[in-house]
Amino acid sequence: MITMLAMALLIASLAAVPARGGPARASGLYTAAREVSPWWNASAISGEYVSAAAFLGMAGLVLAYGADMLWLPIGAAAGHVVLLALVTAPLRRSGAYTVSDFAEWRLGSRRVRRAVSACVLVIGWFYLLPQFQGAGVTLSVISGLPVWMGWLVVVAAVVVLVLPGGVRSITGVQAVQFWLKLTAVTIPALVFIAVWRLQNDADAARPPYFHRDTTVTADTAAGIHLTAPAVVAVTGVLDGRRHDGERLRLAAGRHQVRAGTRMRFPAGSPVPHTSRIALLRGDRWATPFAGGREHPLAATYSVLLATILGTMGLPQITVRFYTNSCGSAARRTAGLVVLMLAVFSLFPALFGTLGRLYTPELLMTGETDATLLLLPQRMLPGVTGDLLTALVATGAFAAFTSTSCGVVVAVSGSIAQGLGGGARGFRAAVLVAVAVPLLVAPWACSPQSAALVTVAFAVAASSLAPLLVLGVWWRRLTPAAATAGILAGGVPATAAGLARVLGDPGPGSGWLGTLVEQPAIVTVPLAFAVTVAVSLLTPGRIPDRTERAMARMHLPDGLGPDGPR
Amino acid sequence: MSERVTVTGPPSGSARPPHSPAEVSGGAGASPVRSLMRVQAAYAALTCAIVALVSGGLPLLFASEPALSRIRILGVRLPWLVLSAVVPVVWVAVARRHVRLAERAERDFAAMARHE
Repeated sequence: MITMLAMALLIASLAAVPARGGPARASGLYTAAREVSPWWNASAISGEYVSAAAFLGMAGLVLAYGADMLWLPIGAAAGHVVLLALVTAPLRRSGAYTVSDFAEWRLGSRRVRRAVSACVLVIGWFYLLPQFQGAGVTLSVISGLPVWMGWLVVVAAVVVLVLPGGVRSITGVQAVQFWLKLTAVTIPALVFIAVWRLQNDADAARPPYFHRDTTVTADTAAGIHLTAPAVVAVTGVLDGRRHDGERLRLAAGRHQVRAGTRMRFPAGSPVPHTSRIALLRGDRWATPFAGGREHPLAATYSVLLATILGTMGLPQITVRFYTNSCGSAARRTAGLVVLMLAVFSLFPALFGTLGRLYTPELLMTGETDATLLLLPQRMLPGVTGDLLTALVATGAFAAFTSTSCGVVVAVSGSIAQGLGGGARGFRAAVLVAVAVPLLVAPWACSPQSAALVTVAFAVAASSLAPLLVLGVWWRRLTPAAATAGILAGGVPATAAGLARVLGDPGPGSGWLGTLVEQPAIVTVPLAFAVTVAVSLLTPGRIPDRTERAMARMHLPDGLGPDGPR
Repeated sequence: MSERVTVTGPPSGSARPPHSPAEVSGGAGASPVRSLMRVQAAYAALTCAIVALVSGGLPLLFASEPALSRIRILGVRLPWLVLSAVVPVVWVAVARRHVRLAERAERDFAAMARHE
């Protein structure tokens, strides 16, 4: 039954995946793409944005860390407000397809273009990694297949869909996906609220405990932490000894579980926590800044800064606005995106809370990305639960694949020129874009995809945001300053991101640990400061085209010099 | 009757044919672009300031007043309600307002350019 479901899910999601084209023959794609109404384009952008991170990951983060994670959806929506206010219309009027095109057009420098393209590539890698991980978790929860199968399926889908190049961008399909995802989230939400109200036996203010008898299987070897003694039936290897289903009394404290071990917890026993997730009692979980993290306020500001300014630097977002007919259509699109994302920001809190009540064993396995997938069967055992699971999983898998396609196309469009240009360069770029995250995925330590997405945001905010904001609004920006700013912010943010992704058991403690986890609070101001300072130091190198570029970006559509049409 | 004159510079004043503001924007007459940019920059700054105020102020507020987290409305704790239901509405309102203002500034500019 469940395997059938998985197969149906795969076929359905792959059929639903948009055939998004690479700009291998750019001009054909561009002209074809520029007829999309703001409403449809906003649906498509939102559909792409509400991807792995928002769709599954954020609920999992709320489950594990509580109120402190509610800032993430806030920042994501705010990022689009800032994008709308500062960048959208001027960027569209510039006629640039990617941020790399914008940099070259605005500053007339190949060197800046190369620096920007390198950044776009890094951001794309950091963004693809969590998509792969999310797909892996989804597939393994649904079908029990190993995690890496999910990665391979997504990569295969991306390569098959994107590699031929010249495929037209089908915004309509993506837009339909947004409404599919909204349905996939809304219907379970309404059902869950009703069931929650009816059962009403749950209380978020208690430490996490199993509400009913629960069997947990450890996918990987893990250290778990038990707060109170528990009687557990164990099949497999626990603390170095083999058991065959007999009941043990486990003392409070640390225990070591080998991969494949099954543990059956009776109702009422406390939930052991993986060593990666700190145990939070209900009250601290529900209160902002009470989660026992170090420097929680600074970490929160850093996340907010990264998401708010990083949104404009995500390659797949900027490319999308190109399909609007003109600057003001792009601006209206961005406004609608804010509206659509606002609807979604309600769900992480709801699903996270429900997850803590109904799927607390995820705190033990650490696979909190699976929250939304497990909830339906827990709350509504039987056919209804299975159908809801299928609905959610289909939406999720479609999200991973379409987001990956979007990122790969945008990244490849940016870097193809450096790899020989044309269709060959584009194909090489596609392979470079997917190969690196696929190779890194087995070594990445954090299974929480939403947490990994913040790394991409941090790099984008520290490197491309200064270029875009100052490039659009400040006449004195010079090419040297743009490059310097990208390096000053992008390099430390990337280093921190690598340490975060590959570091096991996680970054150290204290200020350094906080900054490695959330570097934006330092790297974003640094990048802006360096860009402004170097610009002021190189006043003789302001490009001649600046005045004309400003006019084209800021004059209303059709009035600017050599406008896009 | 008619006198031949040599035109050395770009046409100016009422003698010129109906023009597109693209001419205005180029070269010496760049001031209309600058004034439009100033208006748009002011709107953008205001929008960003609201975003900064809300996303900068709320963490400070909740961190300094933990008592707020104990307030429950319809059974939901105040920070949860504010962060997942109220703030998104604020973002939507700010975004709508910005689109309206920016489009009006451009309409005014276009109307002015036609009248000139």
